[in-house]
Amino acid sequence: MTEVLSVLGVIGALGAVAGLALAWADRRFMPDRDRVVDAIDALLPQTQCAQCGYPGCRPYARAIAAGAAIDLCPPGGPETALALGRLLGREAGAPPAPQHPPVARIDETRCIGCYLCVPACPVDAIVGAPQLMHTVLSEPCTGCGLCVAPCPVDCIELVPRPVAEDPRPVRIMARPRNRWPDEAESPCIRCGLCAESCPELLQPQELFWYARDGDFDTAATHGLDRCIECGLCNQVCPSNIDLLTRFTRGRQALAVQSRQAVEAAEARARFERHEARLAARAAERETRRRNRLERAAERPWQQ
Amino acid sequence: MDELGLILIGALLVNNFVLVQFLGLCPFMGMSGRYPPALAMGFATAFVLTLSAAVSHVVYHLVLVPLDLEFLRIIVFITVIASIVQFTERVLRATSPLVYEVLGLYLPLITSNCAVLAVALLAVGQSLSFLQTLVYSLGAALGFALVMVLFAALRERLEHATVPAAFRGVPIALVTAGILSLGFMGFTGMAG
Repeated sequence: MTEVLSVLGVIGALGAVAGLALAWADRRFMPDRDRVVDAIDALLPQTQCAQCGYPGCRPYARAIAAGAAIDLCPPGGPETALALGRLLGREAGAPPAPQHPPVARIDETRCIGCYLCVPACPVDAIVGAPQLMHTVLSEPCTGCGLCVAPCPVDCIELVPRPVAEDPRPVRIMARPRNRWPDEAESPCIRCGLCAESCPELLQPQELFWYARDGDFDTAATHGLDRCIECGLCNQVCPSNIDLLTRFTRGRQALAVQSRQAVEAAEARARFERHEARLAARAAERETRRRNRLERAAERPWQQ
Repeated sequence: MDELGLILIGALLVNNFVLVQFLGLCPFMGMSGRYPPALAMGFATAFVLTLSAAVSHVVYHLVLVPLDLEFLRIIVFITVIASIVQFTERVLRATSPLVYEVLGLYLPLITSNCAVLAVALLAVGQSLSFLQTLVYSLGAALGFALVMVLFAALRERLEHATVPAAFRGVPIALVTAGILSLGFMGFTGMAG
């Protein structure tokens, strides 16, 4: 009997101590969701297009942190879904088809100056005044299409945006050749000759594995961004592997990525300014209304 | 001092809990796909393992032995481990929410990681002193983290290797784990 009692006592006391400690930990350590939201927001394309069903990129980031699906972003395409999946350790479902962001254009001969499209633009890319013609600034336009529906005369359309394939400055130099230009590639034999030839002290064979599989981010952490595209590795490779073409393609992809990151940061800043302006205007309207009500209260003969 | 060093090396390399004693294989295979989560998992488990072995040792010697209740050790140790895991989960959620998000289900699963329970039980079974238990569990914990990191690095490289179709994914990972385990067998007889 005493043994049963001591068993119950020990287990009970252990449970009580553990419970108290956990209750204390619950109060002491508040979950920090903001940092997760920030990290998710950084991966979204910042078009503020609301095609995911949330009013902007930041609200969608908040929803993802709370458990929403990660594959709802059409402008981001599969890359964004994959990056989010990698960040959060979740499986991305079938991501929507990738799109090149179009740009909105107003047919200025048909615009009646109604001003309905201007407040609809989340990044303030439409300029113009009421009763006057409007136009779209193509630089900040994210191609979200939110201005198309409000237009009463259907004069806004989305057109493909002209884009340079390689955003880097053009360099003119003779293209280095493979060791045996007319022969096919064979598999890498890990001889390491490319590493010895590299003037930037990179590991071309490792970069080759990552670049071949399209994992340019990892390649960048291994120094792909330092490659000067001299092509010496091509000339020494006994397997006749065209390393340089892969590196060039990878560096193009990285350059496109960094340009998109800059554009996304600008779009986000514009969206935040837009939101702040709307909020300020709403607050101003509210104060004016309150002032009117107060003045009305001071004129009792009108009541 | 020499003895403590032997215990540390013994638990860390010679009797590595994952690759030599084959304990805790679920997180070893499950969380080692990419390097950063494997690092986080390795150190989260290492933290829980060391702390729970120390607490279990105290509870065993100060409560269970005087009351003649040694037979309760498994259930008591599991309770201790479970509460420490819950505690770690809360701390992690507050301090590094991204790691918390990535580890997901695997974090509460540390509770059922048999390596954690095994270290507590084996330390008590070998009647080690408190200091020895601490060193023993620290060695086991570092061994676990080391193996997680090694294996994750190997698997990241495997991702870009030209593996025959039939071996792609888990099969080649299992083969690699086997070879890594063979490597660790080489430590046998080195210390203790």
